[in-house]
Amino acid sequence: MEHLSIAISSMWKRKLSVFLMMTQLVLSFWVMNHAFISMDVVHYQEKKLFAVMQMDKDTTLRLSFADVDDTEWFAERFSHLENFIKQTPGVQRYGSFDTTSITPENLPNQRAFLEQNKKQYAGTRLENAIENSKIVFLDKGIYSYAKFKIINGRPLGEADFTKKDGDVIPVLIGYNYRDVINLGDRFETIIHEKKIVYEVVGVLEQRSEWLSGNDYIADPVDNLDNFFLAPFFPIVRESEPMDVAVRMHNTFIQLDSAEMFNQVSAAILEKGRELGINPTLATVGDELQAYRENRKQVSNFSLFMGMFFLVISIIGIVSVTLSSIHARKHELGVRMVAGATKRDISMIILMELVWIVTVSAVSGVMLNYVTEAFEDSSVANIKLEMFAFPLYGKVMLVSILVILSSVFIPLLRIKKLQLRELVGGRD
Amino acid sequence: MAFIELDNVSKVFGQAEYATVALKQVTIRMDKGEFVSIMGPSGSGKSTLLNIMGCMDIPSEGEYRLNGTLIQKLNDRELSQIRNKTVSFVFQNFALMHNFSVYENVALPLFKRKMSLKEKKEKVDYYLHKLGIADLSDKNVSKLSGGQKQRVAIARAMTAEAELILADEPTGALDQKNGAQLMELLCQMNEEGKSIVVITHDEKIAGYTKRIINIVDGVITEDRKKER
Repeated sequence: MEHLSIAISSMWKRKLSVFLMMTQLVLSFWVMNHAFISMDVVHYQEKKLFAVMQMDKDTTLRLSFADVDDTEWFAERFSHLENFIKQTPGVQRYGSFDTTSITPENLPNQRAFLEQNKKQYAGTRLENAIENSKIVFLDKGIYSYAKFKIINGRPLGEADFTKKDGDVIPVLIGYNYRDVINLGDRFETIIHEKKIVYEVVGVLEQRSEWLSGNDYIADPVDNLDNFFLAPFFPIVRESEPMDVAVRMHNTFIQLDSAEMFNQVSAAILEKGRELGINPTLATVGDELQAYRENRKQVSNFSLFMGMFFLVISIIGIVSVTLSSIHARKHELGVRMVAGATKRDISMIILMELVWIVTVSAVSGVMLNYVTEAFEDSSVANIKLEMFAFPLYGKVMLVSILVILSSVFIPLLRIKKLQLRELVGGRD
Repeated sequence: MAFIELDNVSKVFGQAEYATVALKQVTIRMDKGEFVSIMGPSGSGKSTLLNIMGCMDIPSEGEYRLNGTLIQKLNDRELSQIRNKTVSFVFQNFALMHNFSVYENVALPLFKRKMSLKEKKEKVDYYLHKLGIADLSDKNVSKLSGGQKQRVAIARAMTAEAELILADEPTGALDQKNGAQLMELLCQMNEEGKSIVVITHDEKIAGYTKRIINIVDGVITEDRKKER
């Protein structure tokens, strides 16, 4: 403690150089932290993907189209291709999902439902649309991939995915609606000018999650606490070309085995070309790799910049510390004459560096948190979630490396100090 | 057993043709409570002798025992401990830490002592009062006059409560009045039982001490005891 208090008092006496040194370090830690987060976001997304859906990197494929066209012509051909895929040998499951909005009406407790949405949407861009709720429609093929847990009522069953237009559609509700909508409650929505009746059959576990409807890899998963979840039925799945078009981003195929990839892929691509709609097929593993490569460029650049700044900062710290030792030769000599050992002097210098680096690292991380919090991107919330122990561990490791590399040369300098040269004579 | 025993101590700086002999086989014995001045012209080796006596340097040859302890055998930590507890210094340039307060300078020897902050403060305040500089406690030492600075240096030496005070040209930067006051203070400390060695080339200053050792070119030429 004594060493630390001497170090702090000594730094206070040369506060300007300490402040400038710390400014450089804070910026370095800020950039470095940003790089760590960019890298972590990729791992986080990957982990989430497999947490919400039982997919396999090599046997789960995603079907997509280079030029999606929301015309009758395209929709018709896509339907042909879907039927072909379902019958292709080697395809175990096939399915799509779509995330959209509905406006539930005539709920037994409509006011409580609106109040709940008002509470949940406060401060978001949905706060003026409290009558709407998000809903995920899925095929049976894709529902069976999901890892949903039902805390009340029942999950969706085989028969729920065979509903026709005009049937009552079973729906699962998000956890936040558990107190305002009861099992068995019915509500209505209007889709393509037709009245649809839904009946609540189950409540999803709190913090249930599902893939984003926009980009299942790059965008964060949706928290379903304020969502509905229902099986596709004809009117929402394929009554309009647009309904077909939106599904094309989120259509998955599960193969029997990885060895079937070439055979299945060749057959589907051949059929697509025959139909004139040119599909592409990629395994989830390949898509993740492409995403990783894409993010890697950004994070590698940040990492390089962070390391570059840190090296510059280390050089700055070493030179400031060396000149400080030179300028403080007299003070250090007086301390040694009064009984301080070279080890004590080294401890004082070490404490100064520990203090400077620690405060700079904490400030850099805090600064980064503030800038990430104000960032307007789809992964902003994920980035904020990254501020946890694994990140702090990395920052701590970098801090230790900075301290060790900064302190080495100054300590050698202290070792060479000769007491008889430090004091005595005239000032 | 003498308090200070230097047996055939030599000190050489540099090597081979660049070697400079600062002390040549110096032998001195000093008992506890002695008040000694070491006199000699510039470059005679007085300060080297003082550095060795104060454990700031070690002899190239010969043996130095302080209170029975062979100094050459000690490591950095043990030498520091002696400088902290057994020896105190008063320098011509005062050897104060610039930009630090009077209090911080005087409290310096207590850095590694196992004492509470309160005890340290009481001790420092006691010596600041004793030397009449209590009102300067928070003042930056660089703002003090030469006389005040030397009082701070004496207060620091007293705070250490060491048995041996080594003073290197202590009055060199002081006017006659302040110089005389300082020597009176050293006499008073000697009467309280402290062993004191003063390096000077001033006969008047040496006149305050009870024993005068003359050194020329690193060799002791005279060692005489006298009554004040």
